[in-house]
Amino acid sequence: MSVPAGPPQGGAVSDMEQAQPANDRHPLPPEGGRGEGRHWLDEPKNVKLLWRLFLAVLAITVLAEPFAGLHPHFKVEALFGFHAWYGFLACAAMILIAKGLGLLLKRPDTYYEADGDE
Amino acid sequence: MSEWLVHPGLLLICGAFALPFLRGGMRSAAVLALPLAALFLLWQLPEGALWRMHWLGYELAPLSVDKLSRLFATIFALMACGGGLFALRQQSRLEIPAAYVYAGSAIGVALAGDLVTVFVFWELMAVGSTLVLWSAGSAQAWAASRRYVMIHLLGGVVLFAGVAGHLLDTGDAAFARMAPDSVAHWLILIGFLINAGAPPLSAWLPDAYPEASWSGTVFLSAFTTKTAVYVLLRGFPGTEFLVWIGLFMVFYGIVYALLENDMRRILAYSIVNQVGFMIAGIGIGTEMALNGAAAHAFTHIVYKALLLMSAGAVLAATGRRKCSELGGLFHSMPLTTICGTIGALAISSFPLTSGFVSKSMVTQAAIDGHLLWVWLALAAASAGVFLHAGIKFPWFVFFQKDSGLRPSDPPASMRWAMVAFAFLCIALGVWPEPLYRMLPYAVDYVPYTTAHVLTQLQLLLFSGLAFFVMLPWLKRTPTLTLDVDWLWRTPLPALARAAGRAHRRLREGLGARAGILAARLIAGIRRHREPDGMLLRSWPTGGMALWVMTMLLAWLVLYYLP
Repeated sequence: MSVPAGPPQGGAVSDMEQAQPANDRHPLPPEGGRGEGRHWLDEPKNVKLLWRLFLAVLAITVLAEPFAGLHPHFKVEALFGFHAWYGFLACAAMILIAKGLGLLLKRPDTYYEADGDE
Repeated sequence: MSEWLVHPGLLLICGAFALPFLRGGMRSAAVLALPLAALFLLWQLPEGALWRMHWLGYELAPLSVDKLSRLFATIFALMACGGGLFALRQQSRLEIPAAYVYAGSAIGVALAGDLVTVFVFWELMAVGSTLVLWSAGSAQAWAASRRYVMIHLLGGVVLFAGVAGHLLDTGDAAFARMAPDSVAHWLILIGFLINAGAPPLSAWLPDAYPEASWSGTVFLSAFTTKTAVYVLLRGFPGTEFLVWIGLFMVFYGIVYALLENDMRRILAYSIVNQVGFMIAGIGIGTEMALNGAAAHAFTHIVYKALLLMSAGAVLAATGRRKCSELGGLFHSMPLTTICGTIGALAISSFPLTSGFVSKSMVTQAAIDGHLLWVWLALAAASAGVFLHAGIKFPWFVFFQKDSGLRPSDPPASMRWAMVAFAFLCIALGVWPEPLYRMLPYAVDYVPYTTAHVLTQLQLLLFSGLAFFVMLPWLKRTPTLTLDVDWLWRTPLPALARAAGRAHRRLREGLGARAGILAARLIAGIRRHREPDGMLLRSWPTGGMALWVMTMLLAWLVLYYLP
């Protein structure tokens, strides 16, 4: 629970008040201010590394299954890597259903403004 | 009066009315102290029905405590404290008092031992929450609050009819376990479910909550739906059709959240989703499931508030709420990013977070009951939670493409509120025993087994893979998705306007024809009743005297006749 001690309360308000106009003045600086304060997550190299790490962890969770002492209750659960592929397929299915429903039900987000207040 | 203040909910409500008169440090201290005092009082109360009173021949118990009510009242008080801290910098002077009336009435519902008291606090909650919405002060919030209060008054009427019917049927006001076996009980159940965000009226929730101020939504997320979970837990445990209602809500929340662009509306849909897990648990109805539903309500309030605090911090700093206009905020809001991510992991039930130790009890109950299809649906839904709230929210708000926005982390009060709740999310996940001890039934469940951790990681990480593989399909568009609220926002108002026009035209058309008829009738009536009409005109006195004399003479003549 360690947080950098904040500025005194009075100063904090002015921080927030200043933040808004500052953003309006230059809403989209090119590529997040290249040069100054570039975060390590902005480097494509590091992102690639994270991806590899992620895939490695995925592989480990599946390969460790025989050693985890699972005692499946349902028959389907006993299939190898059930939670992995079931999770993946369930998500894919939900994204597809959402996409399909979106075709029917999506509207521009100004939809309700037209008949707003009467 | 002091005896009345022993009720933790009434203390918070009465305190709320004192808040507008305080300023500066006094006000801040009172905002933090009030919920803590309520919490303290709550834990001093012994179990049992503490107040008894008679009203219209019914026995009421407005303050009664057991483990379940103490659990919910505790989290409501904690939530009021965290939300109050987060909202300290809110400009509106109405919001915190309104939120405390709201929180105090939620505690009142949790501590009510009879249905009449439940109803009174239920309605007070609707008033408090509507005022929280109003205090945002925008035109959208005003319009949304009108729709919100309309649905809640409808729910209140249904609940009142149910309670009245129950009183007539049984003559007993006690709030005990019921079954949907009579019209009255169905009405009570429907009234409860409307507040839970259950279909078909779920849309009130994602319609209204995101329109509140950056701090108001934090309060709104906690009380209404969770008191509904509480009353369902007490009133209708093991009602089977709640399983299906719950599962519907779970998937409805996921699918709509996937389509949504507004960051706080994503989280609002995910409230419906999470409450779905609880309601499914209540429907399963075993001790494990009910414990799971209660524990999940507790942990959910904490992590959902944390998520909405991080979203509120972003909104307060940037004034933007659409994912398509946000992104890359981790550069300048590291603390908000970390806290938001902890909330996102907790809602996804990642091991070592609070969601892991609570939601898995509901899933375990489905396994214990050999409910294969329910279990499969819950597992798919758990994966879907990670998809829509666990990754989608932090990814589109804090990471993804760089929007170029560089707002700083929020002021100290907001930071501390987020840090405290993030701490709770992890503490409850690492050390669940205190929570387990507070649950209504004895807990015989060990969340951390190698098998459970591994299968959960598989489920979640591969959902994450699905998210990134299908990312092009999830690209944000500046759109909204029509929901049931469309009915009462477009066709019903149009119908009402059309009916109004038709009525006016009818009245005008009829008016012309009927006017002539009526005028003739009135003229006919008036002809004899006007000052000069036959029946009303004044007669000369001479004429009167003549007639009287004539009658007297006639009498004389008749008298002497044999």
